[in-house]
Amino acid sequence: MSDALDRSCARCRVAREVQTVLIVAVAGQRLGLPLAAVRDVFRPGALTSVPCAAAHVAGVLNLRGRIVTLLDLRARLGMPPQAPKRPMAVSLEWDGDCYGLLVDEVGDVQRLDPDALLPVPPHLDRHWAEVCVGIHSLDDGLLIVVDVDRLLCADHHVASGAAPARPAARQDHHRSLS
Amino acid sequence: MDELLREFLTETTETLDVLDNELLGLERTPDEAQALARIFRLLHSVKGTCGFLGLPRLESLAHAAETLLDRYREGLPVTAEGVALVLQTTKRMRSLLADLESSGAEPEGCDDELLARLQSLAAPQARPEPGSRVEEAGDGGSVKAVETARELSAGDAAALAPPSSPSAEEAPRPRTRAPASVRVQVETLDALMETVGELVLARNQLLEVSRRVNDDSLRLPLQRLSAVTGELQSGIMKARMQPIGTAWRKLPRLVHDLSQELGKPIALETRGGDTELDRQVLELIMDPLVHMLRNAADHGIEDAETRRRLGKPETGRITVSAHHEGSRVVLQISDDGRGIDAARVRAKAIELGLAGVAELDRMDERQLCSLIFRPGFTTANAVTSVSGRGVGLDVVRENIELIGGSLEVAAVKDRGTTFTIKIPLTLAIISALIVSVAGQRFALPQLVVQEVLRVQGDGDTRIESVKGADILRLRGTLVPLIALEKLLGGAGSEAAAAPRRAGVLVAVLRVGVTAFAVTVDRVCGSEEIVVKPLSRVLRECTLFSGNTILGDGNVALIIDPNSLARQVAGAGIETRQAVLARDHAPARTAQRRELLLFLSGSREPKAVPLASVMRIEEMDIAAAETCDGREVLQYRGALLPLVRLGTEADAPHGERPVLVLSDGDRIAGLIVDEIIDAVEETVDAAEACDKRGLAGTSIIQGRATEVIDAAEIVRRAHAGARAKQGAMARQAAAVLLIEPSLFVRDMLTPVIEAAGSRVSAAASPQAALRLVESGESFDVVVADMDRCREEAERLVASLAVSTGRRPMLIGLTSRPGAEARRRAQGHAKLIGKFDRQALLRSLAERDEALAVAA
Repeated sequence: MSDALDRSCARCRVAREVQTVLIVAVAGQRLGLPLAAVRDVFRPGALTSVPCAAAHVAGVLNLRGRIVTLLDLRARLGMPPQAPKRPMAVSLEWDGDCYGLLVDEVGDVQRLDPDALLPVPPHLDRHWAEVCVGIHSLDDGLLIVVDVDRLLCADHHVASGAAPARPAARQDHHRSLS
Repeated sequence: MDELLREFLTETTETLDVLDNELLGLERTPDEAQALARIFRLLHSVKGTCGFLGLPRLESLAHAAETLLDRYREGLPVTAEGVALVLQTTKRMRSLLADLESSGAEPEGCDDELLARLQSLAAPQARPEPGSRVEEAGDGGSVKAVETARELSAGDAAALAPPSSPSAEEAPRPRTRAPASVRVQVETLDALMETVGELVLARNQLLEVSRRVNDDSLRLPLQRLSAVTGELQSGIMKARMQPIGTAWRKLPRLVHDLSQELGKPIALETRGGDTELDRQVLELIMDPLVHMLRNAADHGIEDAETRRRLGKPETGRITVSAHHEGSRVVLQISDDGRGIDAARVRAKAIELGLAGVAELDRMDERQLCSLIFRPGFTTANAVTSVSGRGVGLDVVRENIELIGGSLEVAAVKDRGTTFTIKIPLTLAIISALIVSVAGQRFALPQLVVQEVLRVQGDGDTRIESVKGADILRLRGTLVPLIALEKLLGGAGSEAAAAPRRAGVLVAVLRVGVTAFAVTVDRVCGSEEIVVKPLSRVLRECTLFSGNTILGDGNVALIIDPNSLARQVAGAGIETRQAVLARDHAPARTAQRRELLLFLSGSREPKAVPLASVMRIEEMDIAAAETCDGREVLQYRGALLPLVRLGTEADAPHGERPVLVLSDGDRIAGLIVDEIIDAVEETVDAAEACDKRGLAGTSIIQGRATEVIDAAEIVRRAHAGARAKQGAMARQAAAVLLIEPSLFVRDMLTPVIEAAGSRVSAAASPQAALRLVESGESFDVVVADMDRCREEAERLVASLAVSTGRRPMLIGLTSRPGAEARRRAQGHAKLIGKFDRQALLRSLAERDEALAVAA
C-alpha cells in the first residue's frame, strides 16, 4: 500500500516539475514535451539510416556539427510510419546524447497548472501509457504529457514506474578482468 | 567529495606508487642513504597532509613507518623484514585511501597490530640477526625490480620516480629539477579534444565547399586554417598522451606481491616506459596488462626447483616493453618460463571439442598457441596443467579488440612466452576508408584494411562458394568473404546478395590473426574522421563502433571490424568449411587436372580424373554375368569387371553409361547414371576423406564434388568376392541417428550418408522405438549419450534380440571429457558431437569388421 503511494507520489513529483511544455502533434494527438529537455526545433536534413537499429530509429543526421539520433515518434508509439509532408523534429538532450523526435507538427509553448494534471487512464494504449506522465484537459482538447526518460530509454521494460537507471558508462561494457 | 580531498587522493596514490618502487629498490641496495632519505621525505609529506585533513589512521600509519625509516637513516641496518613491513603499511594505506574515495570518510578500524610491529622494529634495542639481511633473503621470494633508465623520462613522473638502477648510484640524480608542468583536469582535456574534433569537422566541410566553388581567394586562408587545425589537433592529442611508464609504476609492486604469494623469485624488467599513448587508451589497457602479468607470473614462470633442473636461472624474468609502430603502440609481455606446449594445447582443444582433428592438423605452432584465446578453452581448470596458460585470456582479447587492438602469442616450449598487444595510439581521431554499400557510405578503420581489389573472376583472384559460404581466392589463399550489403541492407537485399562472380570490389581486412574480405560497392576515399560514440539507443548495434560526420556534412556509421570478424567466426558450419578449405589449400598444391564429371545417385556431381578413363561406353547391364562373385561383362574379347558405387539409381536394366577405368594393365567398368562434362579445373581444397574409393572432396565449378579414386576402384573390382562386401559394393549400412537437436541431426545426416550409409533420424528415443517397431532394422545406432544413453542402450539390446544381430552403438557427446568417457564405459565408441572425422572412422571400422567377417 505504502509502496503504491510512494510510486504515485513519485509520479506526482515528476508531474509537478513539468510546468512548461512544448506542444507537438503526432497522428492528430497533441503531446507536451517538457521544455527543459528541448534543445531545438529543426527540419531534418540528409538522414543516414542505421541498419539493424530498432524500428523507431529513423537514422542519424548532422545538426550543426552534432550527431543527432532521429526517432520516429509515430513508430515509437506503435503506429505505422507515415512520412509527413513537411517533417519537423524536436531535438532533446538526454544522457549526453542528442536525440531528435520526428513529429507531424510543432505547436506553442504552454505553461501548465500541475494541480490540473489527470492520472493516466488505465485503458490508454500500452505504447502511449508507457511514456505518459499524465493528461491535461485543455480548452481545446486533451494533452498527453510525456516523460522523456521513458520515451528515450531503450529498455522498454523500465516503464513500470521506477525511474530508469542511469545509463551505464561506455567502459562498463568491458567485462571485468579480475 | 570536495576538491581538496580529491586532490589529496590523486596525489597520495601517486606518492604511494613512488614509495613502493623506492622501497623495492631499497630492498636490493639496503645501504643506500639517498634512497632512505627520499622514502623518509615521501612518508613525511604524506603524514603532514593526512594530519592537515584530519585522517588519523593514515597519519598514524605514516608516522610509524616514518619513525622506522628515521632509525634506518640514523644507521640501523635495513632488514628485509623492515622493508616488508613498510610495504605492508603502504598496502594498508592504499586500502584506506580506496575506502576514503568511495565513502568520503576514513573507515573505522584498528591498525594497532601493524603499528606495534613497526614500533618494535624501530625500538633501539631491536637488533636484527645477521642472517636476515636483505642480501641473504633472496631465495625466499624477493623481487628484483630492474628498471632501465630509459623508462624514466623527463617531466613530472621522472622527478617523482628517479632511476633506481644500480648504475644510477654514481650518476647525479635529477632530483631537484622543478617540474615544468601543471595539473590539468582530465575533463578539461576531454572537452578540448571534443572542441578540436568539431573544428576538424568544420574544416573538412570547408574544404569540401572550396573544392566545389573553386574560388582562389578562399584557397589560401583555407590552407592556413587547415594547417593550424592540424597543429592544434596534434597538440591536444599530445597533451592527452601519457608515458605508459606512469601506469607501469604499480607493476613492480604487483610482481613483488605475486612473487611472495607464489613463492617464486621473479624479476620484472620494463622497457620503453616513455612510450606515450592516449590517456583513454592507457586506462583501457591497464587491466588486460595486469591480467597478463599475473598470468605470466602464475603460470608462465616455473618454480625455482624446476628452473634449476632445466638449467635456467632460478629467478624468473618477466619483461614488459612498449614501443611505437606507425600509429600503433606495441606492448609485449614476455616471460622466460615454460612456454606453451602446442601438442598439449592441441589435445586439449580436441578434448574440449573446440576444433576438429583435420583443422588442427593444418595448424602451425603459432595457430595452435592462439587456440588459448578461444572462449571456452580457459574454463577448464585442467588447462593450467596443460599449458599453464589460459585463465580468462578470451576476455583479455575481447577487451583489447574493443579498443581496436589485437593480441597475439608466440611461445617456445621451456623457453618462454611472449604476448604482443597492438593498440591504436588514440581512439578519438582515426584514419578511415569511406566505402559505399547498398547506396550508403560507411567508414572502415584504415588500420584493419589490408588491401582493396576488384575481383576479375579469372586468374589469381576469384570468388567461389562452398555450401553457401562465399570464399575469396586471393593469390593462392582462401579467405572468407562477407557480403556487406547482406549484413547492412537487411532482408530486402537478399537478391542483391547473391554472389557475383566477377567485377566485385572487395576489401581484405585483418583483425588479429583472422583475415577476411568484405564486398563493397564503391570506395569513396580516405578521410581522417572524428569518432563519436553511438547514442545510447543505437548501442545495441554491435556492427558499428561509432559514427562520424564526413566532409560533406553527412553522418556515416563506423563499421566495427571486430564485430565482422566475429561474424566470420560465428557463421556456423559453412564458414567452418571455408576455414577448412583455406587450411587445406597450402597442404595440397593446387594443380590443374582434367576431370570427368558424372552423376551417380544424388544430384551432387562426382568426378574422376580423365586420365584414368579409357573409354565411355553405353552397355547393357542386363547382359552382365556373375563370375566368381563378380559382375562381369564381355568387352572387346575380354571380361570387364563391373563396379557400382552403391549410390547409382536402381534403373531398369538396359543401356547404361559405363566408364572404363584403367589402372596399369587392369581395367574395370564403373556404372554411372549420367555423364555431365569433361572439365579442366584447379583441384585444391580437397578434403581428405576416409571413405575408400574416394580421393577426396573438392570444389569444382563452385560445387562440392566427390573425386573418385580410379585406381582404388580398379583394384577392388579385381580383388574378388570380398570386394563385393567391401566399401564400394557393399550393402549400404542402415544407420539410426537418435539426436534431439535438429541442428545436429541436419549436420550429421549428410555426413553419414556421404559415407555410403542410409540414415533414419529420430528426434527422441520414443521416435526411434517407433521406427524399430515398424519393422526397420539397423546396423548402427548413433545416439546422443548426454541425453538418451539408457534408452539407446535398451534399444540396441532389443534390436539385438529381434534381429539376431547386435547393432554397433556409436555415442555422441558434447562433453568429450574423461568423465563422460567413464560414464559411457561399455560402449564401443564415444565421440565428440562435432567430430566428423571420428564418426566417419567409426563407420569405416564397422565396414572393415564386416568385410573381414565375410
